[in-house]
Amino acid sequence: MKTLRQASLQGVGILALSLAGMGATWLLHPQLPPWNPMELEEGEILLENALALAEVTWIDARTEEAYAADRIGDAILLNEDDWDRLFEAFILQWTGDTTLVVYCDNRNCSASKSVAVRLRESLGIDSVYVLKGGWQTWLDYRDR
Amino acid sequence: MKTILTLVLGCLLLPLGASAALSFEVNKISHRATVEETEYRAVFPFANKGGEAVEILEVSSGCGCTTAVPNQRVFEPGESGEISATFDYGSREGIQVKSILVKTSQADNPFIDLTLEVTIPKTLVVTPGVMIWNKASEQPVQAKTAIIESYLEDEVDVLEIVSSNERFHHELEVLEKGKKYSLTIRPPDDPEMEGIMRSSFLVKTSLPNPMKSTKKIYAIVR
Repeated sequence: MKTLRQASLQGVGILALSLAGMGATWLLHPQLPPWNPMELEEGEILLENALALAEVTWIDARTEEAYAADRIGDAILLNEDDWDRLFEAFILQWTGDTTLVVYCDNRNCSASKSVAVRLRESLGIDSVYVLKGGWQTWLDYRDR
Repeated sequence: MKTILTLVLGCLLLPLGASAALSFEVNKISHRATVEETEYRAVFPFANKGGEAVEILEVSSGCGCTTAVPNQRVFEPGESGEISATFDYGSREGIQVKSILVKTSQADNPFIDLTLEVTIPKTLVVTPGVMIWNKASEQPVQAKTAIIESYLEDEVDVLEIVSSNERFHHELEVLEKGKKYSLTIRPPDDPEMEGIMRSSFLVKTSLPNPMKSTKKIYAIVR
């Protein structure tokens, strides 16, 4: 009987400490987002689905330096650092009948979402997507 | 019982103690901008709560629009400091999330992520901002119309439209004064034309913020 009571107390103690640890972790990292590589937010597209598109134009929303160093295929540089100049260059290159897929550095960046919003508004089209995981996902795919 | 509890407590608290060196009061700052604002400076205060000096090796941002600097490089145990980050809005609007990565000399968790989230109010929206005509399939060419709409409570007037190509005809119409306008554009009807013909239309408005007071509409005939 005493052993059972001891075991129960130990169990309660371990549970309480686990909850305390969980609370401390939450306090230290309250913003830590969940990451599911297959779960899509509105307007996002998986790399495998983007690669399967018949006509796609890649839009690189990273910095000009990152774009100059490397990019996906014939991606066109378009970021909000210099929107007017880059957008003008983009519309002269874009044929007008391809799906646009925008990417930035990784899952933590938001530049691709902002650029996608502006493209949808400016062009009056819906076929603009954000690449899930961004450039980092492309590197993982290319180097696997 | 005591031994087990001590072991469990030790296992749970050891990682927390080891990670406590540079401790930031907040890792994320949110701000709601006004229409007139052109930039925002956020300060992330911290203290060195570890037992050793910590050096900030690098502070970087993935956006050319955001600069971030520490007030000094090396922080002794118990010393406080701050990272100040300045986000230059440019023509950005909507929710903007800027990540700042702090690289430190601390052995455990050398990288610290800071986030700056700024909500910039929408001012003017032009839809569509680009008009494309395809000569091969659109003969004779028809006029197309863009809507210029203000999202602000105060009235915003369209003062002037500046065209870069006189061969394109344009006409501005007031749909709702201070709120909504339409700009109709008709390219030159020239079936013999070769190559690409284009024009831009600069919409000048009464908005006080110089980064937001103009919008461009592009017209392209291919």
